[in-house]
Amino acid sequence: MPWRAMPLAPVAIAFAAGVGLAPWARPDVAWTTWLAALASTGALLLTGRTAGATALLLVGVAAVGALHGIETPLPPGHVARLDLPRTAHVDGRLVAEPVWWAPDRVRLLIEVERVDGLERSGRIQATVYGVAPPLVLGQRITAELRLHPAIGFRNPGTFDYAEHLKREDIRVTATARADRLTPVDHPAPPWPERIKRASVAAISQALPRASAALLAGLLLGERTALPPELDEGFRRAGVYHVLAVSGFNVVLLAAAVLALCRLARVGRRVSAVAAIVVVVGFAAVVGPEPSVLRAVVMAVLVLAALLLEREASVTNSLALAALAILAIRPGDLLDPGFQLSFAATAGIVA
Amino acid sequence: MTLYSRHQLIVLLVLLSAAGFGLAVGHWRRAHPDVVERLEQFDRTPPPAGSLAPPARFPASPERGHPRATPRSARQTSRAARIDLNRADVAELTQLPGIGPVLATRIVQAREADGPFATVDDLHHVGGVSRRTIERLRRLVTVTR
Repeated sequence: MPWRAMPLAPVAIAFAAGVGLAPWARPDVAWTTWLAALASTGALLLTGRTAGATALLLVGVAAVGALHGIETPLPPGHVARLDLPRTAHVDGRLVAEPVWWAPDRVRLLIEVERVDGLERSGRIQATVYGVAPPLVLGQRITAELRLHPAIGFRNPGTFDYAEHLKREDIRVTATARADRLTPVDHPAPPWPERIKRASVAAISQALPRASAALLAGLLLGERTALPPELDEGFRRAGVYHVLAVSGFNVVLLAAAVLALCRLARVGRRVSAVAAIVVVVGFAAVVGPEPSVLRAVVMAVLVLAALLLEREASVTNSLALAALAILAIRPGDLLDPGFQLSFAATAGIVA
Repeated sequence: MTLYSRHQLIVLLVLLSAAGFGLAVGHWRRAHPDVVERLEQFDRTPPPAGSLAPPARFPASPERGHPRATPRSARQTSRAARIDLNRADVAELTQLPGIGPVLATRIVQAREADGPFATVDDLHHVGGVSRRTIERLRRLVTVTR
């Protein structure tokens, strides 16, 4: 295999291996490995032995991956350290767009500021029952919540919901009644959310209800309005993935922008810049799922190669995407979405 | 067969050192939250009047790779955590820079004797609290009725 054409692939593999080994790694061992790898790589480089230097460098990368993946102890004021379950008065800010399962059921992600008047940190995923006031990302709320530790009931070897929540840095879940929740301020929704809402509104104006919900799912991954029987139908047919936003959407979008620019006789570099802007904007609108992040990083790299008139290596882009995602969210390594997305793409391009 | 050229290896080595150093800073910050809090308060207290030196700045984003603990959220919580001069007890007041147990007791006594403070500047009437201390406290305290 022409490894020289994809210099980032070994680094990404070493880093992922380090993150994967993190549960068994000890910080002192990892720090020592890192320092030793740095020193010996430097020494071997000075004596001109690049093969040995490469191997040791990759060991150092794995050590950094392990250090990055090691779970850090919760800070003293973390909500998960409270005595749970309990009912508490929570002040906080919404850090994700609320998910409306039904008009009288909404799920919130709250970044905690205070619990019962005392300063606390951490995130709570809360489900609110009853007709809640309109809520938006970034809003401050105050609510009386019933707090529980996040637990998943599961069969061994199957999907573990508690682990999934932990990867999202959620260790406490909660339930609340809508009349016990009060918004404190009323900020304007951020621009990606405004674009998303406007698009969904435009789609539902132009199409009948079920078709509109389907199109919103296909284009924006917005599945909340999908009728249950349609949802179930897609699951049973085994084609539920077409309702998820994936690399396919990103490629279609980038190709459409490039084609439009060509029709308008815009230069190659300007079209590449336009496509990069649109693709990054799309990622902001649909949200940071691993498959979207992967596709966007790869698309930006390929477009940047077009911009700089360089040859783009798809495998190298894939490696950089993996590095970037694991650097931001090391827990994603164990996320099935991450694994499937990267394994499938590697299978296609390698 | 060598995977990387010498130059590539040097670049990767520099990146690896930077990544490890960033992680070390992150670990240190989590291990010493009290020191971090003090350092972050440092640049928010106004410089003493007449000083021409710019306020001390600490690296804005030493937490590379730890997006959850952004300096912005830390700043918001510390703003929310202003100490209320009319409610705080001696222990809380001594957390303020320049306020020891003696001054804290005096502040509480003054509050009990003359009623609640109307503004932060009323601290001037408490014996031992200088103008300079008041300027330093201004952003850290509030007064409620």
